[in-house]
Amino acid sequence: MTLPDQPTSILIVDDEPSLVAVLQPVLSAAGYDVTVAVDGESALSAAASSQPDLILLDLGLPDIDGKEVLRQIRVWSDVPIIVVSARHQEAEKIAALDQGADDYVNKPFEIGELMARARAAVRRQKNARARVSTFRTGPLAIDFVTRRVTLEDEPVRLSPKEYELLRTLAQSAGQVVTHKRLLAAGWGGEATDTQYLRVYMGLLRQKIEEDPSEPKLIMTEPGIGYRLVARDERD
Amino acid sequence: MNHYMQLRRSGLRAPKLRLGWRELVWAVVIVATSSSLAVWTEPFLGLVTAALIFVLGVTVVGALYGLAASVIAAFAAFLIYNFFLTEPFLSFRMATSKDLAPLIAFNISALIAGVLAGRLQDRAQAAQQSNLQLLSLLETSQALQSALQPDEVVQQLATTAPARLGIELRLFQQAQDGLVEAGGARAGASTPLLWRQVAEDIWRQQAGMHQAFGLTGFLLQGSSGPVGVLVIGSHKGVPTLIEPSFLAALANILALALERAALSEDVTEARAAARSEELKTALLSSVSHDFRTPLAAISASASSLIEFESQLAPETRHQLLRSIVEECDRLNRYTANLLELSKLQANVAAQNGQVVDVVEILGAAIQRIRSKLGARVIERHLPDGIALVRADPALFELALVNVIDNAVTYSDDGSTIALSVRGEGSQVAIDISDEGCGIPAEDLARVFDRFYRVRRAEAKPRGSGLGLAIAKGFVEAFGGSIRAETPGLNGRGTRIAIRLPAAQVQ
Repeated sequence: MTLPDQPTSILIVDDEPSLVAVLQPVLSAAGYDVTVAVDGESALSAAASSQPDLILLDLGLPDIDGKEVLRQIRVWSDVPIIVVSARHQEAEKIAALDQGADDYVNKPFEIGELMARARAAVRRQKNARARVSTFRTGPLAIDFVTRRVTLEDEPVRLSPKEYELLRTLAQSAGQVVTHKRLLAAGWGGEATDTQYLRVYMGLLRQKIEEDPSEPKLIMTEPGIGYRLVARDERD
Repeated sequence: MNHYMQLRRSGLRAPKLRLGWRELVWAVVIVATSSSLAVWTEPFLGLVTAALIFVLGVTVVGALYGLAASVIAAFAAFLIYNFFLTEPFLSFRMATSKDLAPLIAFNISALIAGVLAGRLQDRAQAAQQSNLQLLSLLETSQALQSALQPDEVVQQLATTAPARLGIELRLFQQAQDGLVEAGGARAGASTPLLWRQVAEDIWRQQAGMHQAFGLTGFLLQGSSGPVGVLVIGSHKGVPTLIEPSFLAALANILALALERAALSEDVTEARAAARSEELKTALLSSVSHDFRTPLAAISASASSLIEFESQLAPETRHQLLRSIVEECDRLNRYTANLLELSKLQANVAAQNGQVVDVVEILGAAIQRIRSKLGARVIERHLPDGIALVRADPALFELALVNVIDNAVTYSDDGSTIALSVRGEGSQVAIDISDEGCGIPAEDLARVFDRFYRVRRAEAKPRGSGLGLAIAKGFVEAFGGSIRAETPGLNGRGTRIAIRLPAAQVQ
């Protein structure tokens, strides 16, 4: 039996045999139906033919740029895609996220981290489709209909911008949300500097974090964005 | 050799024939004075003395004002002599052939005096000219001494010799698509065709000197072949009095300067190459040590698990597996450091500057290092709200992780590590203090050097020697400073003090 947020089929797009050799048996043992594509072309055809619940996409592919694969899949599918990238390539990651990737994991990654990201991506998609009206992570709860936010069941007063930021983070809980998306959520289409975002994030953390200097809920992904921790049964 | 001769000829002046008004007036005054003196003294001293006084006057005029003046003076003197001193008195009529002798004597002495004076003046003028040329050579060579790049050579050249001597110089150097005129100052203006023609002829024929179209070109010879072509012409076509030997000397100085500039560039490149070679060597030795150590641990753990899996206690098995993950993390951080190092080396870090919150990045850094803390206590002194600086966020995080990691590595389990952030005037001060073993005073400045590890008697170095170097590189890329101080906390350990310019919130 699979867990509610667990994808059942997964497409691994990676040209490194040693990594595939580890991921394939481990993910299979964890109950996934695993398909492997070693280049961009076969990734595109496998994505179409096997209709996976989740795609794990390495950006460095031998034939086509990983971002191009991402773009072509997004033309016809909203399947959750997690990008695998090296730590120092911030610009690459932001570009992939802007082109519709759900999240990223840094190479090298621990399997637990990868699984958590996978669950978060599938959950977000399901929640979006089901139009869920409430969210809960640890002590924090949000009612999207009444715009009510509580911490340990105590109401938290947020300004409209703070609420919009928190809502955007919560709807992608467990996933990274880029500065760009947060700015769009808080300030609409206006061109705004990220320093406003930092100011509001600081305010938001002071209201919902126990210790804003060591956040437990809103994590910083330096240079990329923020991630609201999702407390699912596995974490 | 045509132009060469022309220069030579124009350099030797013809006897001076033209006479200015001032010179004429002075000649008249001198002749009048000497004549009056002669006429006045003749009754007491006799005719011969009077004639000598006349000759004296003529000679003085010749000596001072050249041939033309002296001939005029001689003739005037003869007329006066004839009028006042020979019979019949007060008449120009010549009485005897005896009377002609003074005329001839006057004129011969006038001619000799004039020619001699002219030659003297030529010598004086030539000496002055060559003095000027020598001076300008000296000046040029002094100016060129400070020129370390070919462009500077050309600039110095344009400001010294030509201005003084009324000549124009253009320097041509070999480039990828043929000869080009050197010098940033003239980059806008195009080179006149004739000049280019002369330069290209010389370069093609590799001739030492070549003259055409009123221009003189020299091939500039360096010690290992030609380094360029110097073309010289008079300014706006006005003829010059410049010795060819001077031009050749100028070309020589220029060739030397250009060669020196080229050598100085080579030396700079060689030094950079040596430094990068040094870095490569340090890198290799670091890689061989810092990669092998975690690899050895991973290999030992993994192979033990394969060989003795069934014989190992569950806790041991878990410990081995944990160490594999930890060592992988260490390798990962090390490669990240190497990559950032190369970014800092290439000076690209500063391009990714954003306004970031120090407290926020510090929080992310602590998060990353939490698993290594053990029983160490983190004590924080933070401002209310946020402290903004401009920085590359990922690099900033890595720099802070490195510094905190050092504090953890070199301090005992259970000790305290203090992190403080505060505004200090226009700066944000970040202090990371520990109660560890500290840094000897003589090593305080060197700990920021790449691959430098403090020598410790008790144990092998545990760091890679890269962490603080990256912290320093980062801080400097964003206009800040970093310092190591001792003691750090409670009279022990180390404090790393980072200062970054505070970002202005608009």
